[in-house]
Amino acid sequence: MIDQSPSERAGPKGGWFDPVFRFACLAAATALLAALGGIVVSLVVGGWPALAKFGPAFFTSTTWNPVTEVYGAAGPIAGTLITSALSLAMALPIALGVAVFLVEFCPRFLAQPIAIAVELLAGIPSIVYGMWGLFVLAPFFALHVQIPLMMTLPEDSFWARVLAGVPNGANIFTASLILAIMILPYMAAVFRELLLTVPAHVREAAYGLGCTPMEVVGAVSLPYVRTGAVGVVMLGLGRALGETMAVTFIVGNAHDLPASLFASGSTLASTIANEFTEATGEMHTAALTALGLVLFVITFAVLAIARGLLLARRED
Amino acid sequence: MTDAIALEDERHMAEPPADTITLRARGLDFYYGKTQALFGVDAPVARNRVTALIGPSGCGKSTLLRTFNRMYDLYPGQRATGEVTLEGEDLLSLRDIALLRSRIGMVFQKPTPFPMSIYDNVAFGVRLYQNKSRRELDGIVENALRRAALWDEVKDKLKASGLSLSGGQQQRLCVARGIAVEPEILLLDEPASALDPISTAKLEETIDQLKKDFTIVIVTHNLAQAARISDYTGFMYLGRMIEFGPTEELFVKPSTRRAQDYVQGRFG
Amino acid sequence: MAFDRRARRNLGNLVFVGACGLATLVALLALSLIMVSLVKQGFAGLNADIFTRATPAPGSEGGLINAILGSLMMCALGMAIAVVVGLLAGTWLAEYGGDTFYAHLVRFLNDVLLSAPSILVGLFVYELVVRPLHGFSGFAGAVALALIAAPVVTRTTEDILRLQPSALREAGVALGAARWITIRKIIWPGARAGLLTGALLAFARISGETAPLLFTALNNQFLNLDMRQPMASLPAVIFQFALSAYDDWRSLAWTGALLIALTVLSVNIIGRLIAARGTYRP
Repeated sequence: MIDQSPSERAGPKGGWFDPVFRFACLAAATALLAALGGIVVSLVVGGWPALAKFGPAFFTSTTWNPVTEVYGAAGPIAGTLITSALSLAMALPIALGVAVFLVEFCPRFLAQPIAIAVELLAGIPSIVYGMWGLFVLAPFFALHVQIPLMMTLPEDSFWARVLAGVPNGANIFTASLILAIMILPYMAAVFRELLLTVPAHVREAAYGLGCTPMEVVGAVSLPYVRTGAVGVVMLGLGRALGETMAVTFIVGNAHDLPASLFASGSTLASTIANEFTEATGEMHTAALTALGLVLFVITFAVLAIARGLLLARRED
Repeated sequence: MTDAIALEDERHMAEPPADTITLRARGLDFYYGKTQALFGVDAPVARNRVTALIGPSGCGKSTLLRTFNRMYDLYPGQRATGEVTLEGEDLLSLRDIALLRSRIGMVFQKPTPFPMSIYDNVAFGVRLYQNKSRRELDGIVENALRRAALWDEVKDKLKASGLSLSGGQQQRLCVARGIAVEPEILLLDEPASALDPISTAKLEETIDQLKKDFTIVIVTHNLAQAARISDYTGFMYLGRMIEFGPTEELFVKPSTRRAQDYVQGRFG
Repeated sequence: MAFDRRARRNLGNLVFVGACGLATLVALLALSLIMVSLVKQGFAGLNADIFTRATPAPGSEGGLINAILGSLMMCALGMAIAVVVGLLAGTWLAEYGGDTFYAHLVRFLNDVLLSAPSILVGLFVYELVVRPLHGFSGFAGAVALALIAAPVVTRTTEDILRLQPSALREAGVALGAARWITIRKIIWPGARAGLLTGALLAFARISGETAPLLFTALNNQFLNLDMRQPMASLPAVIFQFALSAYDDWRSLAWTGALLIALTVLSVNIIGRLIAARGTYRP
């Protein structure tokens, strides 16, 4: 540099590579788009034969007969929606309670380790939960909940019908329970993070007015994070909808609409997981793929709503 | 209303001798999207002198500085019109900005050492342009570090990470990095604002030494600093160059009322 | 009067606090029950055979080495693909895409891919790779895992690159460095800790994934290191053995589950440690 006069200098090295690099990065980003597009396309193309053959009845019929090659998705659809809704209903209050506890009431020295434990547990793969559900929860449930109930409830009463089911612990309810335990750590962790974003001075102002902690949370913290919280709920819901392994082991794998809380059922994901590799024939495969398409549509809708809500929050 | 009229009227430019001017902005307008930030700014920078740009926050002095090395190119929506010349060459329409940037170096407000060793930091710019042998590079690095008044403090730990230095040292490292490529111009954007007084004093000493080899333009909100180290000063207000001239004149006997008010601390 | 209201509020608050505490206890209880079962059952079957012998036929002795190696190989290949794609895609979003419509689209769809049920990814790769090549393979399994890991890496890469101070970018550009050199030699190294953490988190995620492997790599009774053939994996073996009626298979399933859980936990912990220590701090 010292030996060249400024106007004699050559340009810096490597400038020509800039557009190539930029293109490579853009290509990678587009590849992700393409992958998602590919998934949609393959689901539509693969599931089309079943949808074309059965029409709208596909969504309302509960017949699932590989022998006669008649398929209807109502059972799995109902199972998916019920287990997800139920698990969310069970997990949400507890997740909120845990988050509030960790942020407001827990003594400092305990709060951090518990929070870390919760976050780490959120990463445990679902197959672990599935196994525990199958080997521990199901027998326990059959032995200590179903059988006593069956023996004590008068026959044909309302409750007996609602809680009817084969006492093997493999039913819609236990599946929902496992799902709830699964999405619990994730939701608790994110709720806690959300609550921690409430500025200290806002909470202090509320306390300064003489509010009890319950009032501070209810009137100040929760409304502050409201939209973010709803977004998180939807993400938890999205997770529950798509869960396969935790549910497959314990949902019972019956294709009818569940007639009671303790009846066996199936979900879209569990049906695909159970039957795909042994599918008998093209129509069976197509029907399963169509189930996948339905699952994708439901999940996508939930994620889009969650996204919309989170965007709205940023404009708050 | 009266203020705006007064703004347009009251200007005073006492330019350096024409043959000493190396970098010059003339009638420079700058836009952040739709908002105009610079209005017909004239700024003549003399060779081998320190030119300071002063003015209240938001007056456009950093914006002006950053047009000199076309830093705004990084951000779509920012553009400049008018004329900026370096030794007569127009910079605004120049295609090959990378080459331009080897002739104009910049040191930023917050020290920004690269995540690499001290040696590699200083050598980074040089390596971009030329393939030098290890020994030549050693010499260039030492030279730059000496002129930045940092050599003695780091000569035994050239392999240490640039991030391991103190704030003041990091800033001098950035100066060394900037001068290693032997630019013609050195742009300093409030280089001492993040430093403690002792580091600031050291940096000012360094700047004073550097003007022998380089032309320096420094943006500062520290009036005393400008008075201490600069030869020429430009006072800006609301995106306009209100007064420009030899530092002594501007500080002791300003020609415009607004400059007088600012220099005497009536507003800031 | 006021005293009554105060007492009621305090009582209500007490109930609330109690409820929250109870919720925490319930959550911790449920999770620890699972962990305890896992450790108890999994450890019972933990012995040297696990790491030396392949999965057995029912009734005979064996181990999990084919499943372990299969998982490792597919995860490694999957991660290799995911890291390359994710790093470049995340860099595009942070450095070039910015606020454009296309960038917002990519971000949204990336999140969709990230949260999509992994079984659908398995279906897609079945159509894409298994069908045309007429067979299940470890390679297909790796592709499925890559599709799940890539969005994670993309997301974390973009997040961490955005945190890099813009002055750093400008300093590189001010010296005349080409954009890609600034990225490669300044921005990426500065973000090294965060990028590594993102990759580790992605790895932890895919190491436990079962559904995508079910129709891509299938499973393999024997030790197979050829990725063009069906490959065993821990999750697939667990799936098969847990649902079986054989005690020794079930015991192996527990041990496999324990191995996965331990791997995921340690990778997550390591990731957090790295993130905590190594951020660019000028």
